[in-house]
Amino acid sequence: MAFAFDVTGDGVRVWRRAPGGDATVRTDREFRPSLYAAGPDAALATLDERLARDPKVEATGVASRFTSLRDDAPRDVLRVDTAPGAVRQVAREIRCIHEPDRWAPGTVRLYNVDLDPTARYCLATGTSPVPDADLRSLSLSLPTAALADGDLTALTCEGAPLATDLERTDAAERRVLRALADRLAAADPDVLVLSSADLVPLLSDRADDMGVDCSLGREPGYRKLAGANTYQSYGRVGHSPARYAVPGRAIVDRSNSFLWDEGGLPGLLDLVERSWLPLQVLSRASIGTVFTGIQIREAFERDVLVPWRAWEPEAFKDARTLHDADRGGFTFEPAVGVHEDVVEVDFASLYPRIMCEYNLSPETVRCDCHDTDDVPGLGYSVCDDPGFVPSVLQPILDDRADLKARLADAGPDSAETARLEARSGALKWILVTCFGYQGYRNSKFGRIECHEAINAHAREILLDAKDALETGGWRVLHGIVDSLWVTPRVEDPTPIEALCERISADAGIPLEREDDFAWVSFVPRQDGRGGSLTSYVGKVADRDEFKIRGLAARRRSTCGFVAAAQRDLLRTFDARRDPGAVCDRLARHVARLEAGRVDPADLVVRTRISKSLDGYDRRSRTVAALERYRDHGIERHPGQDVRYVVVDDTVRSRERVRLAFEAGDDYDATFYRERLARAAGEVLSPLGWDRDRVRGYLRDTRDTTLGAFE
Amino acid sequence: METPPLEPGLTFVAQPDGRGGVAALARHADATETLWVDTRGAASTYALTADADRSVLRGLRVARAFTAHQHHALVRRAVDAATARTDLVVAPNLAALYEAADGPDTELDRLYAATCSLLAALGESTGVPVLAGAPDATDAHRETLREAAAREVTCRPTDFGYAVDAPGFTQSGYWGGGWWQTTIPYWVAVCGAVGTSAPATADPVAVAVE
Repeated sequence: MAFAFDVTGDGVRVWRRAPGGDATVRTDREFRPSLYAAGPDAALATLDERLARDPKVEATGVASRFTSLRDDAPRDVLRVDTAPGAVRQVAREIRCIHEPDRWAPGTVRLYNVDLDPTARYCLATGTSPVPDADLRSLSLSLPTAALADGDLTALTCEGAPLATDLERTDAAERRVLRALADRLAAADPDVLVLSSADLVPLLSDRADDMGVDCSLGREPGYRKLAGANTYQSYGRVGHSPARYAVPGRAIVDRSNSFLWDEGGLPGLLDLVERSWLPLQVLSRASIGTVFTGIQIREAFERDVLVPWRAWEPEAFKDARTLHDADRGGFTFEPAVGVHEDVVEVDFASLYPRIMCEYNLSPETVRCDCHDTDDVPGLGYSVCDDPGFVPSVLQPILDDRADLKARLADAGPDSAETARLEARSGALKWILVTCFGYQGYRNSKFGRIECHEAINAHAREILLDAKDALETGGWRVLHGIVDSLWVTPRVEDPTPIEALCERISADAGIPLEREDDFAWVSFVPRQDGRGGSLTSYVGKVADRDEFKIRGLAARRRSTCGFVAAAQRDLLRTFDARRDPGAVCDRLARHVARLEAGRVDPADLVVRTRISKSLDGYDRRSRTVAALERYRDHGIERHPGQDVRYVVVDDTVRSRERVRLAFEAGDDYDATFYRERLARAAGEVLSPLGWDRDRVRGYLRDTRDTTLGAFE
Repeated sequence: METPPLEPGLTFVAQPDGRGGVAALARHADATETLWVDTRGAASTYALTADADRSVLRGLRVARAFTAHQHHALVRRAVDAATARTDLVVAPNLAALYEAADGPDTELDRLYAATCSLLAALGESTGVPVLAGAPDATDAHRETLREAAAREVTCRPTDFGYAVDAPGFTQSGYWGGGWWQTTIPYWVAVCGAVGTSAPATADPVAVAVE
């Protein structure tokens, strides 16, 4: 079976390798991608006549397909076979030229337009993108500054430098390229794992310029598939770097692969098998794209077409129903403070299990064939016919449960354990994402009423669980979405296992005892009004471990020094339960900081930028960092990180910060001291201490207690 | 809130200083059944009931669009969804989704123009008032709606409530919980004008009358 694909104007090149064998390539010149058009017969007949005169269209015909998950029967649609790479152009012309000429907008609906070309090939021809052999991979890395500078001497292969030259010279770079060519020839990898896809043009072009025979692919050359772009998703700006392809090898761009970080090659290959998105496409895909890919594969098998535009709106409903439905998941405001003897119970994979248990899917919720009251509080009907989304999710739930069971049996630290964890990790993210996708505006198979129905069941299940736990003698301290934190309310409550068993049976979804805590501290909101829903810390009972959520130690922007100090303060708090002792301990970190004894590498702050340098009005630290990046010839795009050490927070110039890769060991102790005080404030805020009180304590304390030095 | 009587057909609700004008007019229209074609959470029921009770939702039927294509399809569907009891159709934030990069501009502009025409045809053929607004829209999109509409009403938020400016309508005051605020036209109507040069205006004066 195949592992790499290249769609060109000549056809689709498919690369295969049998176990122990060499890679082979076959070019399919017969394949023609198809889009589909649905509409009134007369409109389709006219469209057919017009498209017959379009040189980009090679053939048309009538096909029988479902145009929606809600269709009872397939209908006749117009199949339009286009020249390779012409699908989107033909679709745009139908929408912007042919339709406006004669019909109202939306008279003709188009399907199977915006599919990835390689995935389309696999699905349409039944070509599995799951490799037969264990894939051979080779990783290449070049630090950001060297990449921007085009300095090849810092190139590493599998973590080791390819050259030992310290000076950058043409001769040194030639040696690097020759060494790289040797490694590629020796390893003959199927997958190139690159620190950045920009390595492809850099290495290829430089090899050409220097006359070194070094091809990254199994044949010479490379292709640019797409340029870099910036996008917005869920209100957050992201950056998608340029994409490249080389013949015969799949490229994994580590700078743009969430899934590589979460699941590595085993996780990626598991998802390739489910979605039939080829490895290179999948590696750069978002979780939502992968989930959509899995759904599209299922849709192909059911002869359901994939809509190009999201046309289907929700039905008109009574505003009072909307009032009841338009709510999120369950939240139970935490009791701010430190609580002893706490148990956390979680519903495992609550939302996907709800979809499966209650058959919730875009086509089953508010179906046309039932008039029943199946969704609590909303009165929506749910069809009995097996739902599309549950049929996609159930195998993932089952397989993940199986992986977890095998993990329990596997020995610690074995290669098998790592592989199982990677696969389980990748599947977890699909399960986390699947619910949100029901409400996503551009979801191919989503529907807002399905989203509402899932939330309604989730609220009901959590409220029932809360009632059962309280009846069993427990007090609910906090609850959110799928988790509850409880502490004994009476001297001899019903054992938590027995209650979990009962609640699981009632809900049809397992409620699991997630963790036992010696204590849990729920942090107040910054405005002081009630508890933060997502910020807490718990000391796991009988283990030297804290579960931290929402605090500085967990935030990606926090530097390593402050994160470590906050964890240390938590250990002090655990041992002493005394705010003064925590502050004394804090004083020790401050003293070390002010003495200049902190490694600057531990002071690197990471910030994700939301706009490019020219878009900022204020002279912030981010702007100072961006200016320094620009000085180095490195363009940072919205959605990318900047990493810097604060060296003088009193100035507004670029001297305010130093980039992580720049030489230097000075830092602004005052700035980091403030960050330490904030982190300490988070630890002590459940006890009524804020950072001002922490600062005051530090100011007033001349001598620290022995506790600070234990 | 004192509002002008709603006339059959499409009314463009101009909101030069903000949003919420369409919702304000709809809330005080005293309609039996309202069809609300929603975008961007304008029909957030929590906002609608924030200073009132759940009863304001009675007779209100809502459907939400999340893409330009859904919005157009929803306006089309409103024609079928309207019943004999429907006496108001509301479409706030009309242009928002057509400016959200869901497709090429040529496709979306055409879709938007068709949506405006459909709303006008809906109002004309059924004799039902249709209120549409396009706050934050491009000038071109606002103009397209204005051209499709049979009339225009301007809604401006003030400290005392919305000031409504409509042909043949003079706002005499603003009512709050236990108070009301007069306008100059009110006093002109009560006392008469001293001269003829002072223009009548709907802006509130700074004197509150208990």
